Amino acid sequence: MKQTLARFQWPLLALLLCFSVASLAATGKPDPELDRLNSTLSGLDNDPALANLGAVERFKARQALTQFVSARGKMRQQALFVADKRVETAQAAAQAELLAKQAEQLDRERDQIMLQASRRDADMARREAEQLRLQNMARQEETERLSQAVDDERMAREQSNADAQLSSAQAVQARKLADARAREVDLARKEAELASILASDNVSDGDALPPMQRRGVNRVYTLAGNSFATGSATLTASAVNSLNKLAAILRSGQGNIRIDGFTDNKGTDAANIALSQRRAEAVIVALRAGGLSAMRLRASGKGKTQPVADNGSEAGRARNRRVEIIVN
Amino acid sequence: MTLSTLKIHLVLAFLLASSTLWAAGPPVTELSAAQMAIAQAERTSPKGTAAQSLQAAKSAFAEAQALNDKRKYKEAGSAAIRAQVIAELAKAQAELANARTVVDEKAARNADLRRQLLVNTER
Repeated sequence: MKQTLARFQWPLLALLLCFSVASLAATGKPDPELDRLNSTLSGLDNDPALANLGAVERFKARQALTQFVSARGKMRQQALFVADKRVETAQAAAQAELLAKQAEQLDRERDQIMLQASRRDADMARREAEQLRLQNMARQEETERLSQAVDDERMAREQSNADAQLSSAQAVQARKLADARAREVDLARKEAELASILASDNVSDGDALPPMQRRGVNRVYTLAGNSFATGSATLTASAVNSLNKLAAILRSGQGNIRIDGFTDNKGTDAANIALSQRRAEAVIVALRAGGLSAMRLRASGKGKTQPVADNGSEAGRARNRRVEIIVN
Repeated sequence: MTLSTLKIHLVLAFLLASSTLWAAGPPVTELSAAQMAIAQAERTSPKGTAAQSLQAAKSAFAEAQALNDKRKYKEAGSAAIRAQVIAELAKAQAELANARTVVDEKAARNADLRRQLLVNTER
């Protein structure tokens, strides 16, 4: 064994020396391809945009470079080819990742734009809604104004109609009033004429109408107690003349005439009632003689009831003795 | 030659025979990896430079298969590795081109949206 080792000792030492020299030569010799690939990878690492992208491919590229450094002989060309392609692949992968990130950023930008557009649309919708609300309010106000105008016009028309009706009624009323006044004037004129006639008659015989007073709508002519003889129902001549004149006036009328007889409180009630009845009937006879219809005349004896003065004095009793001719 | 020397020679001969037999096997792993890389590159629909790279990968793969058929396994393995790295480069190039297209489209879309937004806002 020792002989064998001794025999191969020097050739082995020579071979080792050759390898060492070759190795030293290979280590010291600059490789432009290796420098180029290392430079490319360093460029990727130093690029802020690409520094952390394509990590897997970059790792594979570094592995390929390491294999290229350690490759010898025919394998070196193959290793260089692989390393070159791996570095190129790492570059492309990093740039593709960068573009993918840019695409994501563009998607975010798109979302922002859409959000902005959505906000703008919402804002426009709000403005349009507000505008429509204002238009609606204006339309409602216009409608109310027109409705109010219609109401005012209707009320004015109704007021005008009412005024016209009132005017018409007032005209009718005025016409009736004028007619009534005309009749009153006519009656007054007739009364004045009759009074004139009576006055002329009075001048001739010296007798006058019984005094008249109004009691409500009735006229009451009072024939005094001295128109009869004491205790009798016989009219004096003067009273008969006066009743004739009164009959002449009442002939023009159509109303009923009631003749009530009254006495003072002297005597019994029965006697007073009988006396007052007879005196009332005597007046009826006189009025019928003056031309009045018996149908319009009615006599009533009231006795001592309804005195108009105090029966304690002669003057009062004289006033209570009377006959009232009540004309409706 | 002593007995020890003989043993050493036998061991060396066995190791040499084993390594020779191992190295001489078909590069199945490399071919399979290359084939898979080419398929992945094809799925990216490469165009332009990427398409050229894919074509180069396919050529290298065909060369590897031809060498494998000729039982030149070592050369076939090298060709398969070249085919794989070229296919991976083709895939990266295609993905880069696709990403660039997508970015360009999205940038144009955003510009259009901004223009529409501006027009609508002014209106």
